[in-house]
Amino acid sequence: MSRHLARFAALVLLAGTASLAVNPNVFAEDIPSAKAKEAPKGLDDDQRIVHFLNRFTLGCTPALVAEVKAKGLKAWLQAQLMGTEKEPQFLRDRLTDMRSLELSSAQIADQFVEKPGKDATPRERREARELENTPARELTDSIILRGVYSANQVREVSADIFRNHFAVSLDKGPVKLMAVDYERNVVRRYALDQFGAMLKASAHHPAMLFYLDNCLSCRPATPEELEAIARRGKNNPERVERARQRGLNENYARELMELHTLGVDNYYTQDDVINVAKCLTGWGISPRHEENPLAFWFRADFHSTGDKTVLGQTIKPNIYNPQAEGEEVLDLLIAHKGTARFIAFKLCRWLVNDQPSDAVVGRIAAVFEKTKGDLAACYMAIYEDPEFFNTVNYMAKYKRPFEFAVSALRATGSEIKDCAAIQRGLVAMAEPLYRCANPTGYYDHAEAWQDPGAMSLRWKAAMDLAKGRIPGVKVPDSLYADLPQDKPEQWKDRLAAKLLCVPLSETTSHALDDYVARALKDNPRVKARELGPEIVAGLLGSPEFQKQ
Amino acid sequence: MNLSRRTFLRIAGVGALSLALPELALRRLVADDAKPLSQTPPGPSLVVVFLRGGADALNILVPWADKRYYDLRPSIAILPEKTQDAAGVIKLDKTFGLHPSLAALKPHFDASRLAPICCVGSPHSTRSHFDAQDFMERGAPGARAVNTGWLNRYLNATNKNTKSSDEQLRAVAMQSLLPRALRGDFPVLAVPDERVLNDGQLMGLFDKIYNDGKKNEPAKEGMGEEKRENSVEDTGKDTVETLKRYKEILKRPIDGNRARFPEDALGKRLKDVATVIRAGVGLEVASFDINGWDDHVNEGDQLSTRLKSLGDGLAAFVDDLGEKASNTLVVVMTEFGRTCRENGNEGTDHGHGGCMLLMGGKLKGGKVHGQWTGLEEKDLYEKRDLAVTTDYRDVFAEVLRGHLKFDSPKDFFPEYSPKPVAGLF
Repeated sequence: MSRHLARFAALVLLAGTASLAVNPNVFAEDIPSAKAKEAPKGLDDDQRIVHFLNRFTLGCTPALVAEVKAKGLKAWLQAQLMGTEKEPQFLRDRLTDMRSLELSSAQIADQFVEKPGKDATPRERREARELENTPARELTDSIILRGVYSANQVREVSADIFRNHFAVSLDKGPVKLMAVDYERNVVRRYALDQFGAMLKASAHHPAMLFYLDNCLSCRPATPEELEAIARRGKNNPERVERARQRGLNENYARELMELHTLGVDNYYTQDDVINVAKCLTGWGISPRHEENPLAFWFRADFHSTGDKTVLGQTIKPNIYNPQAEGEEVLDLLIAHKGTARFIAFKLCRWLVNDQPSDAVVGRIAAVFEKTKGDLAACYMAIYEDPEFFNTVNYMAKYKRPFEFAVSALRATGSEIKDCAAIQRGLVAMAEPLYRCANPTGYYDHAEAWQDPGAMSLRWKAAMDLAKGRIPGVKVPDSLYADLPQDKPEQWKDRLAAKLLCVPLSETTSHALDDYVARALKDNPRVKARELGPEIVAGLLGSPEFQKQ
Repeated sequence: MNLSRRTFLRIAGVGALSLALPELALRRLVADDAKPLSQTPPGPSLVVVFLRGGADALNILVPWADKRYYDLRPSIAILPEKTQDAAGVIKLDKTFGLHPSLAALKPHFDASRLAPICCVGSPHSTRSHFDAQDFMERGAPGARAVNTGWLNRYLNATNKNTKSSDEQLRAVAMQSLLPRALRGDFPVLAVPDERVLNDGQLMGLFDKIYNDGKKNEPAKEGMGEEKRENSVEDTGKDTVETLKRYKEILKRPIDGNRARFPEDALGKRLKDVATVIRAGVGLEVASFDINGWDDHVNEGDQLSTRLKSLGDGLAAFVDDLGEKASNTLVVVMTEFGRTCRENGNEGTDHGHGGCMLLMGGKLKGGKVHGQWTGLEEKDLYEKRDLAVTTDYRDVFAEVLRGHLKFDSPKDFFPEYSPKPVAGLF
């Protein structure tokens, strides 16, 4: 890695701001650096690689640029789309150490939930709480670790997209016990597979069934049933009331069309929402006392009988297998052209531009339809699309907080012992993993994130990271090892070449030179190891690093 | 790039010197450059405090005369008279009183500055915190497709300038995370924690990177021409300039704070808001959250502590503002009330109807607003919670109209036409 890195560093120095390194009058007002690079018609070869990695990884690094350069873009992407690149051993070890990650929801409930007794001490209660929160913590930590260290970056990007597309929140009741399985068997399993398979997996998953309340949705009680309940429940008026009030819950049916497939108010009406909800009545979660608790469980007695019409199509009641009605609805939605268009738009927004053109969305939608929603094929099609490498897309996307954090950790080659402080940082920057307050998931366009208050938090995070103030996270000393103590005017460029994949803008370059000059004036003997972190903070907080 | 905005910020941000100028002079300076002079008198300010977690309306605005209240809450009810162990309710009228920890608000009620509203809430039945909070902050119960906050929609609708971030200090959130009510197209500064403001090194570094001002690069690769005005560089520049300006405002001893604020997060935030308002930089909307009102267990002491902070803080805030208080309205809200009946843990569970406290401005206070329906089982929502007789959107619309002089246009509250709340202003 270090050899590639050094080679690329040299390359960047030559291509970009090399003049600085050899210019003795380094702090002069006028720096003729970026002049040679008048905006070219298209991206040059290096820029193409950087752009490609900006979109298809969670943080382009100079080392990765070198790797892709050696292998070729398409070959690299093809290998990535298999999702079978060997993971670094230490990542595998770290993931293995997390004992909940491979467990089923039932096992998690069994091993991590201990209700403290009535006489439990505060300490016992706290320990029980911590135990119960362990799976959620390991889940979110694993996402950070994989994002930073995984060799399968395209899969991580896709998982990031669909974790938000099919968002569930750890903050809603038992979801925190079921989300580990959700991430593993919905998001990750199908991240490079068929969209339809992922949709179906999410629709059957207890985390989703609970999160969007479908497990509560059922046909209204018949008058006879109410009478019977009233007779039996004389002493329990609440039970009668509950029975009277039970009924259809439209929550999931609506989001299924609005957020997961067709897009808001696209093709469907309120009647469709009600009918889809009816088809899905009975899709619930197996209770604790069942042999396999916290799994998909169809409750026939909840199911709404009778004909349903969804998107103009009649769903015939299936007496022998009423669950099949819901499956039919899902198939209908998966094959719908509105879904192809909606998912294509989303992929293009994440991977091409905040405002993708109709043309590119149309082309990707066609691939989606043709391949029956093969996500890997869609990703390849985006890479091969004539618009993908358009200069207007280059460095045109603002990083989300998650992308900012992961890319900063990747760029600095940080060693992560403990993710807790990183998770807190994501809370502060308003994007805690698996805790989006809305079923919409976190948005992926600049409007949602680019506001001044949030910006200053990135600067703080950059400074904290560089200065070693994030507990459990360490920027390796080696980052500073080759800074020549007697040539402080080179420090910035050397560090920039290690952290950034694009040349520094004239403004940033100038500002950092100025900053270094001033620090030297204050303390001519300042060590590279002392001032280096401040330069790193400046680089990570620079406009260049906020974009991808 | 917008020259007038830059100049505007620079003039306002010169530092303590210019901010120490008499307010009028400062406003003239600003106005000369960026605005017509007619705007000199400072406009009204609205401060929204959101109590997250579903604050217990029945123990804030206590129906002390209702025997049912004591039947439903044998261990946590606020007693009508004080006893050896407990303070009694602070009676406001023949029906309602305030929690004793809110004693500091009583003089304001008597002076017609405080208007509690009973049975406020949402027509939506959700008892989920985040749904209820989101719905409320967006002024759009049940409408998940709506992503803008009601306060942001107000700022956006009244934004006179086409360059959207011209008037940064029209609104601030007194916390790192922008409350949802302030999210939307109009850029609002979420004031970061003090560690950012007070980190001289950090400020110095990014001031250089984003605000050097010596070089403004022409649009190059990436970030198409039309997007330049909202570029990362501009956002960074706004961040630096606004932070500096904000810091100066907070530093400036505007004839000293008159009041003593509680020494806690709420006191600090209210003090900061008061300081910004008194600096006269055109603040129209400020908002912040106070967490932790989800009292499922042992409600008594905890609620008491928090209400003491709230009451003392609000009283200090109004005192501190002096005559400006008549131009400043505070609205305290929460996503829902709690169950009328206490649960088995001396707490209460998620309920429905809640209450609001409005204070300051040109309110017609000194009376409890809203329609009280009582606590008989038949009058409760789903036989357990306080009913909602005033839709919170009605109050929002009334606040916008009565205080900020803004008539909410059709569909400002999606698919809803607010009804007037009689006699509030």
